[in-house]
Amino acid sequence: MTNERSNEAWLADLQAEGPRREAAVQDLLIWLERRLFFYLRERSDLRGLSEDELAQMAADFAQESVLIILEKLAQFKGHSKFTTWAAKIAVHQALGELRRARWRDVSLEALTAEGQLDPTVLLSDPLTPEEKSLRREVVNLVVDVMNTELTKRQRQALIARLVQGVPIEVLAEQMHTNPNALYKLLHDARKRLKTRLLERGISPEDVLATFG
Amino acid sequence: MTPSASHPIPESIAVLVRLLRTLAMTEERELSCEEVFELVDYYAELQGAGVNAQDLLPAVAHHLRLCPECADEYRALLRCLELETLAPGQTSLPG
Repeated sequence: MTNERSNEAWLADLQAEGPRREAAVQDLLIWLERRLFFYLRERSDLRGLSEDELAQMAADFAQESVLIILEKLAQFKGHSKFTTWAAKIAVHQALGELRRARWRDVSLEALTAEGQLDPTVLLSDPLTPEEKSLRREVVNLVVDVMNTELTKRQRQALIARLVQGVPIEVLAEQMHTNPNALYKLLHDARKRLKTRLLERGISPEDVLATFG
Repeated sequence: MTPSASHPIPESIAVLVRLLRTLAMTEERELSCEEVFELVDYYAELQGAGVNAQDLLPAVAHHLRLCPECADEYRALLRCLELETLAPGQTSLPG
């Protein structure tokens, strides 16, 4: 029944009053809840949870998502099916919460050692003497460029993202900014790092080729 | 706090490779996560319809290769949309 609604019908029903709106909200809730449940059930990091716990988690995420979707109705431009747009918001909400839960209580300063990159983090054994020599040269250049050409904030963000894999919204919170501004800061840092490495004769593509 | 070490490449080499791959993919102009979020439902439907979304929206495809969170959400969205094709009995919840 849910998929029989056109985009226009979804908007009209969700913006209506009384039982018509309630029915549409309920349909959307069930539609999202089912899909989130089956998605969550496939996630390897949630395998320890029972079906009932996963169903409750899906229900909670769907409930929170429907509230957000109702607030954002005016932003729906009709470039996709309404349910696809709604699923995008629900997935963003659900995965964002899972990421934040996983990275709760992590301190940025502890992760990035005050923003300086230690070369040993990029070097590992066992290597042949030739590999070690080439890799050490590359690593020393990368670390030198990172430590001298990037701002402390750029360095912190890049290390947290690339070395530690901190999710962007978690890192943005830690750095008292928003994900969009953080993406720009990281993009600027990557461009600067790439340019400086190229100026010193290091092409990331060529170096990658030596790693096989 | 780093991802699990089940990967055959030692973590420190993996970090260097990740950094170099990211730098190799870095372009002068890139879409942000917010810009990709605006387009990803359309992108997913194109992909679901068998259209080559990467050719039509290369900047979105590029961002999805660079950003693990957006890529994860895109895969989850595709999976949720795939459930459209399941029989009704396969999508009933427990309880």
